[in-house]
Amino acid sequence: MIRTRAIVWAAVAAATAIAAALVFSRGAAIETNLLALLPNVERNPIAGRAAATLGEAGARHCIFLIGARSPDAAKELSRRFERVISAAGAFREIRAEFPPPDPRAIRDLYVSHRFHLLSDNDRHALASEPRASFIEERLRRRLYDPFRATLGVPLEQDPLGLLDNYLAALPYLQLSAALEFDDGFLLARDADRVYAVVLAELDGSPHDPPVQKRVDASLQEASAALRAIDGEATILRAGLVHYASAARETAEREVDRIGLGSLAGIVALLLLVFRSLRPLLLGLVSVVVGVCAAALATVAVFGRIHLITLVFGASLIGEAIDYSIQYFAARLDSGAAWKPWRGLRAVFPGITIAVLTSVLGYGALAASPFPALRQIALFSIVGLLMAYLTVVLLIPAFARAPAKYQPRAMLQAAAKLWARCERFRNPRARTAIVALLVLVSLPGWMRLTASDDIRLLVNPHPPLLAEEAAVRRLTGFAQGSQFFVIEGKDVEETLQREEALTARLRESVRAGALMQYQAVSDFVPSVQRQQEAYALWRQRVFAPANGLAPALAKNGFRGEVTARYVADFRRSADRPLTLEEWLPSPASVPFRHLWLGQIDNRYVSIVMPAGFGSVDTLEQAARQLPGVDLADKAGEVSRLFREYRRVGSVILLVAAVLIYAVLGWRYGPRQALAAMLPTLTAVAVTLGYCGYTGAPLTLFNVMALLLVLGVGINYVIFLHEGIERRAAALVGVLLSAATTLLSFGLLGWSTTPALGQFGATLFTGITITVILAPMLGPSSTRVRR
Amino acid sequence: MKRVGFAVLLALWPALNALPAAKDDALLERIAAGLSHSAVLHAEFIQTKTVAALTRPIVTSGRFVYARQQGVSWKIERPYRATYLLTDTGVTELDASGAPVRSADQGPALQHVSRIFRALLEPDFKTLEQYFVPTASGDASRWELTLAPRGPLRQVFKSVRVRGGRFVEALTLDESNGDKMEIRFLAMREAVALEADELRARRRE
Repeated sequence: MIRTRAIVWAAVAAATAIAAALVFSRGAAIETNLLALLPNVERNPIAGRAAATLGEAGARHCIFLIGARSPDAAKELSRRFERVISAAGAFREIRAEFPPPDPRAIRDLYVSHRFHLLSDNDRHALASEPRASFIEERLRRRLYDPFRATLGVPLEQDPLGLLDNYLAALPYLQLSAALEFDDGFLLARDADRVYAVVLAELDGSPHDPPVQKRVDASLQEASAALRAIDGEATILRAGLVHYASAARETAEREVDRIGLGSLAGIVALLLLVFRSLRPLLLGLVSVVVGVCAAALATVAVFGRIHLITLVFGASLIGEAIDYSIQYFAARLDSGAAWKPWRGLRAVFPGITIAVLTSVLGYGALAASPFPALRQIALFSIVGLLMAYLTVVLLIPAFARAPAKYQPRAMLQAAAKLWARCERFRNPRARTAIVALLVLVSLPGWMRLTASDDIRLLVNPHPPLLAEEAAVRRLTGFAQGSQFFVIEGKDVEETLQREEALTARLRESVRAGALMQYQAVSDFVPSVQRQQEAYALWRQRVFAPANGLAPALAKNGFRGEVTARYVADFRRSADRPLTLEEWLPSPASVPFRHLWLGQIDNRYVSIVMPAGFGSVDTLEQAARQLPGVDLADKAGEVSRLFREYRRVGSVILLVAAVLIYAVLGWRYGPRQALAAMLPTLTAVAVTLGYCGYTGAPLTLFNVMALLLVLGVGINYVIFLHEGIERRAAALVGVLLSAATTLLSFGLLGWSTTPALGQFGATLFTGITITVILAPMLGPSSTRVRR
Repeated sequence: MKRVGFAVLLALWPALNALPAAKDDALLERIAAGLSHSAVLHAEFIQTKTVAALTRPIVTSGRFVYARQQGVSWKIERPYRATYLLTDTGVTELDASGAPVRSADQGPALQHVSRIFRALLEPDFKTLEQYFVPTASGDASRWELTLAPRGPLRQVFKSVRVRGGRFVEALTLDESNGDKMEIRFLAMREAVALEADELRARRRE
């Protein structure tokens, strides 16, 4: 019976390992997109879809600046760069040459609709200023002001200069002096170098490892090709794919390093204590089976396994090995009388309650609505259960002989340590210790701050950040993740809703809270707005009482010029500029992306703000405007982190209650409370420590505390259940703690802030728990059996 | 919509800008060497604009102060009074009391105008070459520059001519729509620094 069980389980274990090897050797099931862990919660589905589409398109684009000493060299290098990259096939499209926009096209489109258009300033002036003085003043400026921005609209078509003003207010003329059109290329300059702009679009998702590898390889090839032409050629990169690629490499390296480091530490420790390969190899078998099964289960349920889960899982090795450590620690102590299955019976209650509490703790995590936490919960539960089952079903069959080596000195030292701790195991000392620790932690709690910054997830990569900063500085290209999405039932409603928004944005621009914005309705105002403008023209400029014709005559305008001007006005009465006319015209080329067209029978556009100090400005602008939504991916992720953190804190409490229920069922309510005291105190002290060191409370700290709770309870249980062979039990717990600390200590190395914090919190919490567990656990004399 | 990156980038085009091509005209260097290098220049100007739509040219006259560090103050005295300050940030119009007139919609677009105009007055070949291809004739004491506009500027100007010796004496701008503007400078004189009241006017800005 026992034998059959072992054989069956050996087959299951082997099958698990082979299946995992098969699935992961293809390497396709690993997800690197951090945002994939977040659920899609959008207030407005259309805004959400628009934002997602735009975000996706933006994420696929890369900008390269090819730098050289002279413009000609930069142009030649960028052409060469384009050829090498497009031959390598990593990008769907790559462009080094850009024909300059033609002012004539802009002029031609707008001149025929000029009586339906007014700049904001002129509209206000026309509505409020006395008419005669307005005409005089604008005419004087147009004729005498030597300094005017113009796209070359002839005087006879615009004697008051109002079209000039309208066009000058559009972003056609008022943009940064950063980029220059030269001979079909876009050039940027700094003190001693000239850069040619190359734009490229990826042939797939920036989070797709094969895409990343193709991009890296083709860039290396292109870089070598450019260096061969010009030893000083430089390539500056900006684009999500470079970060994603670097993050994947770092994460893979860290998984390797933490996994291998953890493994090496465990190997060394186990060899040191057991002086035998058998416990080590059997322990590793339990861990490998656990991790393989966990990874398979995650892929089966979620389709892909996320890198974060893998990294978290790598540190779970530290907990999975605890069951076999307990088993072999018991073997150390029992000498020649050792019987494998009886030995199992001795540790069975301890490891069973331990795995039960852990499963309940992570089970609470699985009940949360967040996919990230559910994936980690599934991984942990399956991993721990499989490791536990391997210990219970398989290991005794391979550990028949008693231990040859008896570490007497170690066991004696443990017994002595245990005796010391025993002195504190009375209610008075326990109360004193807990009260003291809580008191010391109290000021730390007061200083606790929380952080839900999206940058927690981002691996800082200084060279890439510097390159991107240089690209931004040189091109003036600002990459914002915030923009407005406007929707309406038809084009007119969408444009009118946009105008309600841009009226507020112009206020912000005047107040200095916003630098500029881009909106379709500035290029093509709503029909309503255009009709208002035409009415103003008619009443305030062309009505005979205003004296336009005499004013023109006085300033020397030829009679036929004035006559033609008035006739033009009359003819254009019912011809406002339409979106259908603007979109295909060359004048709209740089701004067409602002009009998204139809989504679900709604007409959707976006408004791009630039140069704002705080997102509050934008939120206020969008507030209570129908059909206007602010898309703010970074803000959404932060809000989500905040929710995760809050839910995580609640789960921490729920898990504690569940664990208490299990312990209470076995030990009775009072003893169960005592059993929980070490971990609860450790959590309290860790929180205080965070406060003192200024480490903010994040989602990741909260998750680490959950692990502290689960692992820490195990230690108390192992000690309490092993009270009859206390020295061996203590050796086992110390060994477990050492392996756990080793793996989590290594996690503290992670350059991703989230994982680093996770590791540091766990390290602190586990250290305190393992110190407190022998001192504060339930009284040894009253074990209910 | 697929081209968001392209489009946003293109949206940043500065309409009036381009880069220097090959220069190394020896005459340009000799002209530059012969120019006045004083910190401040005072002069009078007469500006004549000829437009097809008008029966007579528009004539404006006044005075200007060029200060290498602070910028240019351009005072129109006839047919009406107005003062413009040309600085790195653009053009500001001052009213009779010297207070800035609320700038119209044109604000930021005027940066290039200010840059080009100041470069023409100096003349600053390095800046001019970003916008034009220059050809020089004559000699260092009596020269004429013909500036062929580059890039989008070609849509606005046919050509720009600058004439001078130690100072710039005249500017002629031929616009592509047939309009023509000539500015002549008279009574050019050098100074070491701005006078006290001129400095005050600038501070108030």
